[in-house]
Amino acid sequence: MQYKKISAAFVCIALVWLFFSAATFFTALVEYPWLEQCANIIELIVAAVVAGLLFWQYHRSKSMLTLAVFSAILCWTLRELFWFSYVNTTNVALPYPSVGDFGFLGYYFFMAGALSQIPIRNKRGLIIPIPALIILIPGFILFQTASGPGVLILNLVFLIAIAFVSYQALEKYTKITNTMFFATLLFALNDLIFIIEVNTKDYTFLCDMLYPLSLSLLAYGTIKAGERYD
Amino acid sequence: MINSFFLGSIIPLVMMIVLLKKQSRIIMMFFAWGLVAFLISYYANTAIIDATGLNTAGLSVSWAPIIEEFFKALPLLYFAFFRKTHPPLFHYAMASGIGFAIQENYLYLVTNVYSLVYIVVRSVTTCLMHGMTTAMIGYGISLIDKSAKGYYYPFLFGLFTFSVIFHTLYNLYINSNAKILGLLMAPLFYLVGYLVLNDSKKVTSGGYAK
Repeated sequence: MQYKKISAAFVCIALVWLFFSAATFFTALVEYPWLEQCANIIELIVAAVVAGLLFWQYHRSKSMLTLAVFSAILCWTLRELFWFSYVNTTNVALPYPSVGDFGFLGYYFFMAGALSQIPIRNKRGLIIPIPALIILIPGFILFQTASGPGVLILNLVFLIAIAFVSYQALEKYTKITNTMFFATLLFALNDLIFIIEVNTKDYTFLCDMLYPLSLSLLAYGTIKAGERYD
Repeated sequence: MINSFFLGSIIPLVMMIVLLKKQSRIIMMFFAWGLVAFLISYYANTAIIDATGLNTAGLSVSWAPIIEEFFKALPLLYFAFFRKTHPPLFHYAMASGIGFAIQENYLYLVTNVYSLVYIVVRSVTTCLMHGMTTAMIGYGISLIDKSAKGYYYPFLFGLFTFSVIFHTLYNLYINSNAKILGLLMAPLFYLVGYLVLNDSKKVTSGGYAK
């Protein structure tokens, strides 16, 4: 219960950050490089704290669902740490694709594992159009902007991973686990924004605003769902 | 030179492995595999440098961690795919990583100016990092229930990505101004591994918690 309360508090903090960062970004109140650096630090802190919460929750419950989501968030955190460290130690933007993108994929592999432990509840026929749209619409944008065959293949792999996990989440949606599934879909949306930004723009701030909320909501939803599936 | 070091180490090891039994034999086989994995990775990395023109620092945060982690962890695939139950794989996997790191130490000794401090520091940082990243995959395989097909295979790839990212992060720090972070990372990771392993033994005697 204690971990659930802490993760709920982090959801509130992430919401405050979302409104604050959106306001400062769109009104250009603060210089962009400073804001981006701030966003990265906040992302890393939130990711590390929620990964810690899930680890302790796993330590208490020995639930595989919690372990899988903890691993997913830790993988994502390491990738974010790599990105942050690379930019700050070399003063060069991290190339895309890079080894850091392994962490991006790792998150989806662990999440696929986590969601596979929950029984199927919903009719497949109604859900199929959603992953198809996830692949087709961003896929069309990314196909036009990809700078080479390597980038194109990686984009496709990412889109398939995002679509697969979103499909799994929708297939297994129940009222009891709704927060976790909502968080999974928010994370997927966040990553779609990230892929489009990284391919078309020279900043990734829109997704940086949302990541803390996705992460903290995912931790809160997992702890809540864990109470049901432990 | 590196081939001579390799043969000088592997031949006596193989002779010993023939005489060993059970767990001792498996652990030494994993250790010997670490030496083989280093040689394969060394030639693969050299080929990539020749083909792409990358420098060593560039290679260490791009291809090298993927190649090295893959080859170090390769024998674990036998347990992951062909064995119905897993023995605790942490130690076997770590033996492979340490074997790899020891062979790498030889390479650094012949290519760099010999320094006792340098090799001791390498041994408590880079060697531990190599051992722990592979051990992490082994521990993860032992931890997950193989009967649950739905998450077993995604987990395997997830564990591999973990070790690759961790290795890359270490290489990045060690080649940058933030060297101290890299130097601290490996012993810290070793300590965490020690604590987790001790905790697992408390939960179940003889194996890891499921």
